[in-house]
Amino acid sequence: MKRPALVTNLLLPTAVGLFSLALTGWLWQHERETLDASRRADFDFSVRQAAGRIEQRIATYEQMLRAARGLFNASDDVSASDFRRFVDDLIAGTELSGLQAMIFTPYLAGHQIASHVAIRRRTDSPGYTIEPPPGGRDPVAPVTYIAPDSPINRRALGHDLFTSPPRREAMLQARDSGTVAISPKIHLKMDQAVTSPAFAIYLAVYEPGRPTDSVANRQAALRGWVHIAFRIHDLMASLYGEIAPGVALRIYDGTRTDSDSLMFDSDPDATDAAPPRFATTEYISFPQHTWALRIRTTPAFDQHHSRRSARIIAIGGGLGSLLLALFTWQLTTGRSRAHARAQVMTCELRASEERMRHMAQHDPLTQLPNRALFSDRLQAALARARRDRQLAGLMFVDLDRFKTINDLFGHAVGDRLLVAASARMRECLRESDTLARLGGDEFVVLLPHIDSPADAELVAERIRATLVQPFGLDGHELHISASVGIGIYPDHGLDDTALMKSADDAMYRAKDVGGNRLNFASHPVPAQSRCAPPAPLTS
Amino acid sequence: MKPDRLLRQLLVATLALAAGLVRAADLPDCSRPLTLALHDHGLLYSRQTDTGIDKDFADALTRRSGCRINIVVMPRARIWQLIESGGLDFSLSGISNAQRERFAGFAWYFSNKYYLLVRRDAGVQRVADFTRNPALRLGAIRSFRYSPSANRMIDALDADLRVSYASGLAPLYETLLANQIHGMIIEPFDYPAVESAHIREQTTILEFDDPPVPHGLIMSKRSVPPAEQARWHALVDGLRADGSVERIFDKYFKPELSRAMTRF
Repeated sequence: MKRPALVTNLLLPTAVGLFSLALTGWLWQHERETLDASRRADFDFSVRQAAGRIEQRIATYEQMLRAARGLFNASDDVSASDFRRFVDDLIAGTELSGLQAMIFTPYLAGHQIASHVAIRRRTDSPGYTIEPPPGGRDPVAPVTYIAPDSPINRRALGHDLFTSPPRREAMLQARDSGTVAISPKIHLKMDQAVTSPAFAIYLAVYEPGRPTDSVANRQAALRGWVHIAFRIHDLMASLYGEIAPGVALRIYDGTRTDSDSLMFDSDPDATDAAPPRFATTEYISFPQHTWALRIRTTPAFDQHHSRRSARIIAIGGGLGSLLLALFTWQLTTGRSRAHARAQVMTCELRASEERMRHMAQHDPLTQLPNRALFSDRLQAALARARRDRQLAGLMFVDLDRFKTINDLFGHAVGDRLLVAASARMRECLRESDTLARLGGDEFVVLLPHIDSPADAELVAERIRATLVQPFGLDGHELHISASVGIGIYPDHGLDDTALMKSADDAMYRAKDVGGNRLNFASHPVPAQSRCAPPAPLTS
Repeated sequence: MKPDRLLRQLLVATLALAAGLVRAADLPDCSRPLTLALHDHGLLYSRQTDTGIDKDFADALTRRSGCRINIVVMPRARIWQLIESGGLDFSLSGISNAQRERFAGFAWYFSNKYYLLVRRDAGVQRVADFTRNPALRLGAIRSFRYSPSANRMIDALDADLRVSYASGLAPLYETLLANQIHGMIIEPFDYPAVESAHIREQTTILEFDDPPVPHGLIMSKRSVPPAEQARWHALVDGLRADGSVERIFDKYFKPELSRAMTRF
């Protein structure tokens, strides 16, 4: 079965367009997935980076503490100035802005307190006291050496850290493990007005030469602690730029992520109205202590990882698919459209030729055959009559007084009269007969099939009679008549020229005698001629 | 002294010297201090007590090789980074995968299975139930890899942001008890913590359907040349062959479990 042309023509472009759209969709989806994977990878990297930087910074502090422990292991008598010089050299040129102070705190049993205070007053700090006063406390852990030396840091000298339970717990953990211990959130003695959360990392210092391979041995060999105090905001400020843009970080003390545990928020003005694209919690584990890092993306993250390229693919691919479908349609239908166009042009050309042929063979006013066409038909009719030995009739019809009407009523009325007269004459004829206008008010009639001259006479009389009837044109009743000359083949001429001349002469003879009559050609002389009185032009 | 006896003694001494020279030639190069990192993980190593299987194994390596090995403790993720960069020579209890094979060599000395420790109220009867329930979160130590099934599970959960990472075990137990995570992958080294009353009451253990995964000495390909890796590999094989590894594990596990882990 043949498909309709419209369906056939649309099938391939539609298929191409759909394929291109499907390809665009796949590319768009692939680009989205790639971007999503890239976003996720960037976020994961940010999480690892944030946690890693903090861990490394704490590890740096641990290494500094181990170095300080080495100082005390190397000498039984480390003075305050030795310690300060050591710390000054240790942090000189380093980027450790989060470090508030490095401290040495001895572990003192009750009987050691008085001599400790006396030595401190004599050697380094004349006004040194243990705060709060020990009273009956035993043991105590007073801050003894602190560096860098500054008025603010000196405020902490003599402060008994064992009076602070979180500090004491971390210090004892450090003592028992032999490694570092980090305190929970504390308030630094130096920070009288500042409320920034702070931390301390402790590393126990043992008596040189004493065994430290078990908890009991470490407890027995305890000499004191070196520790570092730092504020969380200072620590994070020193890591500024290490956290990727578009990522916000909150640090909580412990594993709970509530407001009470919150220590640091890199984006405190953020609202929780819009859920972040990615959010996760990462736990940094210290010995006996944990920080929870709540890391989430901000709107800046989405701006940084926009899906513009996916949108460009979608829009560009969609438009491209449409254009490709149109182009395919152009290609597939080009031949048929050109063929259709050629057909139209051929039809127009044929119509034009027909019009030209008609114009060449017909009178433009009455649309009757002109002299040339009539001549062709006459010759053909005569040839056929000659072959079949039959008769043919030829009539010259001239309208009487037409010139007068033309002069009186104008050419326009005259032209319409000619048209009306030719129409009436046509009605008097058979289909096979030919009525032609030779020019002016002169018409010829060809009767190719007659049995006798009487047939021609009958037709001529019918014409004469119909033309005598008045014509109503533009409110005027016009009266004309016709002079008809009749020639019969072969009686009045054996060829067209002779026959035409015979009929023409007969017509003129009819006209000469007053018109409105029939007249056969002179040879043979018509048997009879009918006359009618001339009619008035108008009534 | 009879001449033949003297000759025999000379021969023995010569053979002993030759054996010593051969043994010395097989030992790793100790011309520089080496670094070995431990990570705080259950019975493998406890920073709190400075004891553990890995600590004992590191001591055995030190004794057997005669090298000076500086032992440091750091998060596992950092260890892998430094092994890859060559900033660290060795670590212990490592498992391999295609990515790690590119930058590390391994010398196996034990193997173990992995288990899913899951809260009883999570409604998880089989391992697959955990993945199916989108409300459940898994806790894991950053950079840890496990057996194939466990790896597939954690990768699928990670793709959905359903994994909370930590640098140590302690916060994972804490968040598990606080219902912030609902499960975690454990190894036999975690049994003492798991067997504590409050964890045992609230959790149950499911087994992954995987064979035991070998663990071993991790050697950085950047800092330990192939010939040295071969010597360390032979040294570890020696520790296994003479029962030293099993004796270390016997300190921490029941004999049958110790045997199952070290004889593979």
